Amino acid sequence: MESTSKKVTLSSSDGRTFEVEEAVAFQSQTIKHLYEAGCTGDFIPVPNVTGDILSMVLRYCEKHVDSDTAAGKESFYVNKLKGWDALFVKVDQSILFDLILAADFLNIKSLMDLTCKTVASMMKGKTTEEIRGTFNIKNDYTPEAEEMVRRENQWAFE
Amino acid sequence: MSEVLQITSPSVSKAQKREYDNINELPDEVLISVLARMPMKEAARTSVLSRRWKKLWTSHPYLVFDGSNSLRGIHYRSEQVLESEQFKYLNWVNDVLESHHDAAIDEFKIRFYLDQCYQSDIDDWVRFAFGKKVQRFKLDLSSSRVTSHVQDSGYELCSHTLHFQTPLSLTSHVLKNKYV
Repeated sequence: MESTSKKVTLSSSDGRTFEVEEAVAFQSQTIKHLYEAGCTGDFIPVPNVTGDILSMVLRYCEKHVDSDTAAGKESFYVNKLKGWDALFVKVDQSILFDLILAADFLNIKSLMDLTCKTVASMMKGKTTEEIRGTFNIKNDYTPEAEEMVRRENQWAFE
Repeated sequence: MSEVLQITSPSVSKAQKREYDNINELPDEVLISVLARMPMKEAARTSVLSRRWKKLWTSHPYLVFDGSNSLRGIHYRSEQVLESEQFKYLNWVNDVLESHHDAAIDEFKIRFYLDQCYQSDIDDWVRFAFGKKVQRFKLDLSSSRVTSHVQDSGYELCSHTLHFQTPLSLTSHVLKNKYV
């Protein structure tokens, strides 16, 4: 990237700061709007995101910075990026959830899509018991109540 | 990206550093975003996970009621079978719409053979979809895969059903009138 392009500095919830190209940071609609509204000083605060997660998010944004350009839309790059994305979300559940929350707060649509799809795919084709096991969800239904909900939504289990 | 400096700030307490290591700690709207990335049927199955999950799927933005599977093979069977399948389909759609919670939907698709007898239900569905500012709408009531003893539905979409000036394309060939 050219060293002349404009940079912005972001600061995470735990006080770490990151200097990035505008084009990288502005993939976040939240940051873009804050910046455009002039609501920022030397640092753009990202109060809900820790430094560890913010650095991952910015790595994602750097990787995707060209994805809207004509060159970025060529299938070679699209496929390469897909492969990169698949590796990017191969992380522990706790990190994946933090990434979702960061994508949600920062309003980065493609990252929200990627991370939510990843969680959705972890539920795909699994039984109720398997999903509870995968995500540590405690079943607080009585057997009767669970049976009733199952019957109410019978069409989904056919 | 470069990390420019490390600030050690005592004001940042542990409590401010929110960490989510469990799906149960995610807010509802985030879980709804996850469910939106799976088909409605799969999302509805999560209702039995726990009490919290019971209603989450009812904000699903893609309401796709594809009855082509039950339509397939119906021509080997009697009219009574068709009627009972229609009844089942109707209940399915009505139940889901009744429990639907969100103010907006992205997609609404109907695919089943239904004739004029079901006009008022279909009117309700159309009103529902456009009341929720649907983005993509498809009504396919055709009988193309069903027997010769049934004919195309002849459902009429009346102007009073739709008060909305939304740009709309209806792909179904069974609509007699297009006022939109």
